[in-house]
Amino acid sequence: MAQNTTVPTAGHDEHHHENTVVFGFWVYLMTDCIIFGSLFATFAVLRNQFNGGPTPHELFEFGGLGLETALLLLSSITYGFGMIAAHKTQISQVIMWLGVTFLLGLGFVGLEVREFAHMIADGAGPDRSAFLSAFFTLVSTHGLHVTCGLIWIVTLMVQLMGTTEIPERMMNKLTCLSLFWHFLDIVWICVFTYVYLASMI
Amino acid sequence: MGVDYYIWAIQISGVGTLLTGVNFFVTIVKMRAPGMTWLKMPVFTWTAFCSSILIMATFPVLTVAVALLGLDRYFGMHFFTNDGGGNQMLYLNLIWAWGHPEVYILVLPAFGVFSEVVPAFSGKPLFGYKTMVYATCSIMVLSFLVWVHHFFTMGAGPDVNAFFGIATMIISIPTGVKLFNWLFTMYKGRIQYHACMYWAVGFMVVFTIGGMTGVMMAIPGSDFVLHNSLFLIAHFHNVIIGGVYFGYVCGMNFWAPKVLGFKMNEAWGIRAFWFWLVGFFFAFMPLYVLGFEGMTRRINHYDNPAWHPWMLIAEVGAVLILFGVVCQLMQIFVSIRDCNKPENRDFTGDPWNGRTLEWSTSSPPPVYNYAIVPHVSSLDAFTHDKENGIDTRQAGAQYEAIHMPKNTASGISAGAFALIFGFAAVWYIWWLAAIGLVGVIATVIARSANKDIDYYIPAEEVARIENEHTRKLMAQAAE
Repeated sequence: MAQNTTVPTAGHDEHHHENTVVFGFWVYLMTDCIIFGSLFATFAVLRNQFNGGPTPHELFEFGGLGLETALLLLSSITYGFGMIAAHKTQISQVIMWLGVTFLLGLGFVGLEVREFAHMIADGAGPDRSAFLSAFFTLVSTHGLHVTCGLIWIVTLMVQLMGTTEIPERMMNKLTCLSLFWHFLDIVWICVFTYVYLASMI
Repeated sequence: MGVDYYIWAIQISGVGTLLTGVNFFVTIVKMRAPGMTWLKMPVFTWTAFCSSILIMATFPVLTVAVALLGLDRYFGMHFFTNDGGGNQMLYLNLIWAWGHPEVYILVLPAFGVFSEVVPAFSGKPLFGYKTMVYATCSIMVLSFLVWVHHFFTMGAGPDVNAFFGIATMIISIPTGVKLFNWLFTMYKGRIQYHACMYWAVGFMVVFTIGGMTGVMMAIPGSDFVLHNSLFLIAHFHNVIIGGVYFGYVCGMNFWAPKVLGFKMNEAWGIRAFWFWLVGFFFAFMPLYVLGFEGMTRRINHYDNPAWHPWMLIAEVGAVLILFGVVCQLMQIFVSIRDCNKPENRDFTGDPWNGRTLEWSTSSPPPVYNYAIVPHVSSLDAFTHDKENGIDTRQAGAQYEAIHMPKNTASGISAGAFALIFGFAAVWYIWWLAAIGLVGVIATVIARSANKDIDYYIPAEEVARIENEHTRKLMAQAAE
């Protein structure tokens, strides 16, 4: 904001200002966390309301699920490699790792859509029972977040193309997306554990 | 259509509220003036801070509640339905887990307004500043632990109801602390009965009554009798009109000169106050009686003659409140009409001998707020500077260029596309909804790609604006 003749220099002040972006985004992510928390609570309330319809034992199978989980966890590592490259200002490397992350994320969303399509085709759609309403809403809210992340990755890849340096604003964007992407990983671990694993035991 | 309309209206405006909450929170945490430690912040800033935390913690719950309701309606899901395993009480729990903190989101900033107005018009520092801050924070935390008192009659059982009943009663303690602090601030002060002070004192009377009837309903046993009766209606109007409405009108009278550069008309403001105050008691006190006599809310006719006299008294009150509304509109009209009269203009930027830093700038403030960021060394920083002969503005110092964000149309564009999206979703026009949604996303991406987002106000321009204000201050002092 405004400058002072004695203490903060112009450069210092701007730096301080930009740091608020990442902090603000992190705070925003915490509000997103509460959205997931509320959906988990809803799932907890409705998880046994099968309404005579299919139960988790009949619906879930670990094969595809393990692959989905592996893709998403791996994509967090590749994003991390991208951030290391960004700190070294190796832009082509950043774009490459973002591309790999994108493909892994796309694979995850593709598998999830396929799983949903199978379930709906088998008559186990979100309107079948309260359990399935809660299941589809929680899991697809996560999937929608990943899809937004994919759009975000492409946006930043395009913005990075042809540039030779990473200014602070771009670094902030990469950092925010990094927070977002790892956050979705953590949420997925909760989904995997609580929605799938705990329902099958 | 009505429910679909409110679903989308709440979802879209909820995004705005949430982002505003994040913005205020980050601003207060990260961008305070040098020297302004947490316990030197004005109480209004504290209450805005606590409100922002409540917004961030609870609006996502509202988003989920309303989204699930929408999924039930649009995709035939079974969250809150009678059949399919749905659970209606889940809806009530979700909506009130947001809804009760929400009433504190409404009233905390109003408490902050009174905490600025009462000291300014009593000529004294706020009594018990620290207890005011602790009380605000306690209310913030406790507000998460009371939501079940909106439906004790759900039958959650005596243990659960007792917990939420006691938690509700405990909130009255920090609120009582606040009331005593305002009263002790006035005690032995040089009180000026400005229109702001009318609203503040009126608030203390009306809100206290509303708070006490709230504690009555916090007793689960008596709530079983009073639930959804007019007693409840009287209670929440008592706190929301007395607390929130009085508070924000008070704040409007107080900060209008800072924002607009001219003072509001006082005579019409005081008339509005008296009509509102007297009208309030006529309109809502009979409702307490009617609640005890068994009259429930939301009925379109009644055939109990015993209720009729009370209803007539309430109607008289409603008419008086209507006069209050008219006077309020008159105040705004007259103030704008006479805004150029010299006696209404605020040349100094400090019309009430204010205590906090915003009164050290010109009215309205320049686009950059402070040419030189003030260094804060005590509570009520502006009063401290005035008493010690320090020029907060540091007029005539060496000015530097100021880094500013450029105006942007992104917000308006995203809002317009969200309007299209919401309209289309209410009327099930899916191709149009898709256009609206893509428009919102495209706006965000375009904003992200825009590199032309800031500029500098040159030092000479800052000096010109500041010197002009200094000249005005000198001319004013010479009179």
